[in-house]
Amino acid sequence: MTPEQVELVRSSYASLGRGSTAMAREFYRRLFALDPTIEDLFTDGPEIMADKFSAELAAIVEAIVSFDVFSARLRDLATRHAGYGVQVRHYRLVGEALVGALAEALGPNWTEAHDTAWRHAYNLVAEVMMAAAAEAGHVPAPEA
Amino acid sequence: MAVATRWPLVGRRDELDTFTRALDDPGCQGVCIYGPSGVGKTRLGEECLELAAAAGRRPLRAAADPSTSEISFGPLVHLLPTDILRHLGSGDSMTAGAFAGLFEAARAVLAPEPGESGVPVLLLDDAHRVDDWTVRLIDRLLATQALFCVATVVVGQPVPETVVRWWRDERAVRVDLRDLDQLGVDTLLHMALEGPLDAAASAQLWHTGRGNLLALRELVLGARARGALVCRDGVWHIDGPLPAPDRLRELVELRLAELEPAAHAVLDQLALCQPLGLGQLEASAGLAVLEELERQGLITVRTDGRRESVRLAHPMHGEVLRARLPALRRRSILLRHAEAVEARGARRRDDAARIATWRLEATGRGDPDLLLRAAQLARYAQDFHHAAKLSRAALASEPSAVAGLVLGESLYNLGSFDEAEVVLAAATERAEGDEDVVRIAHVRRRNLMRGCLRTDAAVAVGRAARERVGTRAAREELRTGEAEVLSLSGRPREAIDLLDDLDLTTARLRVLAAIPRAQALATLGRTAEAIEVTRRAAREHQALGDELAISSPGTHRVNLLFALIQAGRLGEAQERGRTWFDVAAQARAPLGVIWIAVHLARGALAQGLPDTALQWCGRAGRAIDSSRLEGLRPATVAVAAAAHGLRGDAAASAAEADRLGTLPPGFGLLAPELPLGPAWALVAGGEIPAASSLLLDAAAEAEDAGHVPAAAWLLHDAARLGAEDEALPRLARLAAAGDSRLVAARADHAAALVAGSPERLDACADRFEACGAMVLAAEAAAQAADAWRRRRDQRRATASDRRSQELAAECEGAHPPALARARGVVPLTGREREIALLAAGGETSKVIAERLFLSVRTVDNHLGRIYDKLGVSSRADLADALRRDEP
Repeated sequence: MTPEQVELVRSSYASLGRGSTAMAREFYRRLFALDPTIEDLFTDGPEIMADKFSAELAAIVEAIVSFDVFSARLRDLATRHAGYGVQVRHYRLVGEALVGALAEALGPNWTEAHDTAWRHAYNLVAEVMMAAAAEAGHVPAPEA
Repeated sequence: MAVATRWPLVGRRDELDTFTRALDDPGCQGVCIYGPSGVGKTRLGEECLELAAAAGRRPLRAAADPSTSEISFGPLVHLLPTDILRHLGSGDSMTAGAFAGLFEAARAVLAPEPGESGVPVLLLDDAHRVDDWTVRLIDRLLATQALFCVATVVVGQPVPETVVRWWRDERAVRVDLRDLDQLGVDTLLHMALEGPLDAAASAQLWHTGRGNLLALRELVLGARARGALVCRDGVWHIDGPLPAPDRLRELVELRLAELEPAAHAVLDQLALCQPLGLGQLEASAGLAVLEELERQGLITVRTDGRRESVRLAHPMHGEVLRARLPALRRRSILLRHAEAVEARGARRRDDAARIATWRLEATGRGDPDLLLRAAQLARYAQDFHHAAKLSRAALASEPSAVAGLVLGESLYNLGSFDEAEVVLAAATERAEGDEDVVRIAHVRRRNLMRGCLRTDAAVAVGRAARERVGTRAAREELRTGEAEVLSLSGRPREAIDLLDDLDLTTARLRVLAAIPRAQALATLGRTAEAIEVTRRAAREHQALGDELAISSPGTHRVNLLFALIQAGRLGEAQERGRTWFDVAAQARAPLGVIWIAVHLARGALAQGLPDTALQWCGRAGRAIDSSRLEGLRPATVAVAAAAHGLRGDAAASAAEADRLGTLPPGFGLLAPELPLGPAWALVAGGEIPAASSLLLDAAAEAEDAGHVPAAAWLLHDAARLGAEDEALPRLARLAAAGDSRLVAARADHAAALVAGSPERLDACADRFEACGAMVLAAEAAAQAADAWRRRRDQRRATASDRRSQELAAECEGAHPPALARARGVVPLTGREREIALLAAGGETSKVIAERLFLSVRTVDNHLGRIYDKLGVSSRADLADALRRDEP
């Protein structure tokens, strides 16, 4: 990512303020619409999921600037996810759902630059997580 | 920061999935990884081996190297039992029996041991180069399920039929690897470098290496070793052009070495003359050759307008191809092409330029007119390297004034200011006719002023040119240039007077005049006019098209940004400016990038956001480093000093202030604000009176020169430090001189401070907040709270205090003295807290009284005091207020 993209991601997420929870709910709505079976992987209720998600995303976004903190955080996250049976294609769907939810939440403030920046950020997050999961010996189970 | 030695595996998770599935599939014997060289087949193969090992299989490796290629079973020698091999003899004399014996022995060696979950997994590298016997043996082992094989195969090379049948007969899975896309490359680099990559560096690496893993690795490691790839402030940059490391050339040579002559010829032509029309190439080389080249990922076909164009897929290949071409062959290809295009009528817009370039490359000479036209086209496209090269060649053939003009302007844009001056001085001599004189003077003046930082010489050039010209329009144009020099030197009144005198009859003149006019108006605080001027000018500029000696349309945006900040529309300035910065960065317009970054830094400082300001100072500084346009350096350093000071970092602030002292003077336009740096260094060091004096003195100079918003900034900062009495009358005058709402708010604030009026101070907080000047709003609110307390209105005091805290929280840790002064937040007593909790829980005064053995009147009195202390007026707000005040 370029520093400008990092800044765009950070500032656009911060601009959501308390709206980040609504965005998180929309994210899950979209994700489950893309693949209803994913919902089975979750045990928490929607409120809790949305809160957790927006808090985690906020922390990740803040951490991007310092790679050590960033990758350590994602390593933990990946290890936690590995236990749930997450697959490679889930990462792709999450990316789509996230970018969609963000675009909707930011409305007229969403530009092509935002789209590019967020896609780069998400790809980075996903690849770091998958690499960390592999390192820890948790290989995402292949599609049946 | 280090570069990771083993690069992360990016964009290959699907392929790893495929492998895992294949390994678990009882009917599958292996995976064949196909791809061009350098795409990362072996890397993927190694990851597969690690997965296999994690799954409990024995990992094995074998590779066909030159050292073993002559020996039968060469790649497997280290895996097979030696006693068996000894009895084999050479491949030619192998009998069926001997082979069977070897096969049995191999099977035995490979049989899974206790603890292993299945047959071993073999990584066979470069399967296309493996000798026949090895292939046969492995084939047998696969067929009898004694082994699982991951084979890597280079696309485009002949492959043993046996290997092909593994996947064609569906015994194994074929995986095709492609180079990464730009998203993948971006992620890969970020992970490998463990940090963000500057936009220009990212673009360069993508352009040169594309998505080829080996190319990227070689480029990055080579650049790092040569010191070209450096990490500054946590961001990676590339200084200078990206060299093509030797290993990379070898890699490319490898890919090209095995091509058929017809295919090679196509690539040679493309390397010299691309892009070429598909139809034309098809006619000369045949479709089959082109299809093969496309399949190998060596060429790409794109639709440009109405024709299909063919290009090399990798610019790196172009370099290698060109380097390998013998001189005569090169010359003949170029000349033949030039003739062919001319024969077809050379109709397309850039054909003339291309023909000129080819002839130039072939013969070192060319038709000067064609070369010049080509140079102008390159200039229009902002390709200044090419424009310089072509115009230099044109100049050598025929020393014309226009060639000198184009060369001079290109050199300026490339940062070679001194050479540009030499070229332009010579062009001045040669200039004939008003148009030439005016245009050359314009560019020369600009180069002297902004590049060489020699304002006097710039003025002299303008004066000399005015002596030479005859027409009114020419004189007017020269005068707009003078106005530009005046405005940039910080003499706005003179600039406006000069411009008002002109009779701007053409669009070109109006656009030229608008540049200094908008800047000068903004400097004078006439911001609404300034904004209108930029809007009109931007529209007119669009219609002008490709004209020489005029700055880019982005200049109006820079002036607009300046005007917005002077006007006090700070939030808007940050928002829009950020986008403009990205646009300028992508267009590789260094001047635009620096100006925008500097203005955004100033704006952030005015808002009271030191971190943001420092970030922009960093970006501006880096851009100045690479373009060598030092005129804006002092402003950058001064803002940094002030930002550190605002944060309270005395050491950093002093360091920047010292540095400011050592720099040559920058543009006069921003000079009046420079004292903010040393002033805030003093503030951070606790020397308030000294800071205040410095600001008041500096403001006097600014006022004399007509710099209204700048003077107001200096005076207001002095007022914030306690000199409100002295600052007020001067601020009032400044507020009347312009229309900036920030200047007006500053004046009001000084007045409110002098009057000690809490209502007015609260109102000032509103106005500052509307401007986006958060730290000023926070200060005004804190001062309002103090004033309310003096009036004994505790409730309003607390409300103002709370507001101040909320605003200050947005200021990234800024803590100027006015905020640091004691804030009297009075805590609740134990009894008050008891009553407050009950009331917040919904209990009536009667119930509380009974509970606590008090009279109702006492409870109500307490409640009144509680409301005051917490700054609320009803029970409903109590609960929130209590929560907020939790220790």
